[in-house]
Amino acid sequence: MRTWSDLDDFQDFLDAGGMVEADDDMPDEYRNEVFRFIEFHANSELMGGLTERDWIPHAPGLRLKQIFLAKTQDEIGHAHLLYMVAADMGVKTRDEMIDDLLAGKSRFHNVFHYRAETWADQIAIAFLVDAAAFASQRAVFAKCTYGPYKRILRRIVGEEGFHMRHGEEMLLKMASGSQVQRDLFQAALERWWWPAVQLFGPDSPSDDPLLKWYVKSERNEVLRHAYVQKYVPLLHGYGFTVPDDGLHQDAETGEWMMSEIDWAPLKATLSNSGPDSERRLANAVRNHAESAWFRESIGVSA
Amino acid sequence: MTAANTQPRVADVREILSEVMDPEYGTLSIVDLGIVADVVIEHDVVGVTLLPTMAGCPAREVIESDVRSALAHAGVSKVTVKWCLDGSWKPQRLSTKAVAQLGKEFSIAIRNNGALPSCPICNMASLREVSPVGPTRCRSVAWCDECRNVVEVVG
Repeated sequence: MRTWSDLDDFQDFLDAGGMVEADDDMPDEYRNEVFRFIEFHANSELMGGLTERDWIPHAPGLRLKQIFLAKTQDEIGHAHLLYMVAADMGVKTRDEMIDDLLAGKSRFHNVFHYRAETWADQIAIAFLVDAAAFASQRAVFAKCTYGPYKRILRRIVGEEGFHMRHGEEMLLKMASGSQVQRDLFQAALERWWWPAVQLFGPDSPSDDPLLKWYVKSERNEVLRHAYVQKYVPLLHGYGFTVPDDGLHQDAETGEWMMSEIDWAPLKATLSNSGPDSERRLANAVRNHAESAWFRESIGVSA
Repeated sequence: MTAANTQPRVADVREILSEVMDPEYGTLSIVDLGIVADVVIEHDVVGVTLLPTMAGCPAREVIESDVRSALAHAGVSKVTVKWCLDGSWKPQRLSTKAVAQLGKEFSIAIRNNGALPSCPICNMASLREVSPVGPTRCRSVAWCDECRNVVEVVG
């Protein structure tokens, strides 16, 4: 167990590339921020997994059902690992985290506050949203000074990267399909483009503690900009229209520049009052109640 | 292998396959993971038999397509790929390199004749099984009471 005399001493340790371990006497400020970040990630994996599960019966064909089963297992499994690491930090127990989530007192990713209307939405989610989540998780993994979190991120990032290949494959099928399929995807793109872009969050504040402590390795706006540079040409290449009237290439740099982002929808999701938050949370509550018999049978609580 | 009509040799094919990476663990090849069960060449057709870690592995199609494109890229065009689904993959099929890397890079331990192995992070005999499956059905989840890390266990 290591101890630090004060926050400056701790900062020097992190600046020198130090990694914090579970039994270190880390400053409370760091413990609380890292805990909140992991809890948010765990909640997002759980809520995302429940959505994937809803689409297993609708997936067209046995192969896609198998893929969605595996993705559901991945996401719920990731939540499981993350809740274990978060609970060990001693801020909240696992039961408290689940109770808070189900009571609408916690946050989870904005994209899980919207309704997936058609199968094409699931493809837009796999292609656009999974990619945004992957980029943001990879940027956390790149530094991530909390050792137990970094170790599970190594596996999570590998598995999410694999999901993206499925997203690309499914999109290719839609893009080379009938006009009906292309129209379905275009409509889904119009619903999911902005939530995907907003997943990175507003510009990072200059004193963001997560950056200062190297939990995150990159500012939100830098990740978002890189994402736009990659995905706009990809979508154009498949012949789809990005739903942003102000989207243009900078005359000098050639970079894709977006319209100013309206952050009101993101703020609504963070207070669990997004377009589909209520139904999603009710669904999670029902799921938790319906699986209580199983938890009891194996002798665990949450 | 340069010319498309050169007769490939089994060793060449194995060499090519050792560059095909697992879709989730991009630093480990399918040869290191023991997924390549057999390579035969009969009448200039290369036959590759693959052995998934479990029959329901969702990565099978992607692995097969990566095998085909790696061989095609090396000029081997006549290829048949078969999957052996008898469930005979065992952790013993992992190469020494794979075992070391799974532990060091991914915090994944290999079960020891049915018993929990030592923790791949702190090397203590301190793992406790938490659930029989985790993010994938081929691994269970354990907690290390010594270094307080989550470990996944194969086998």
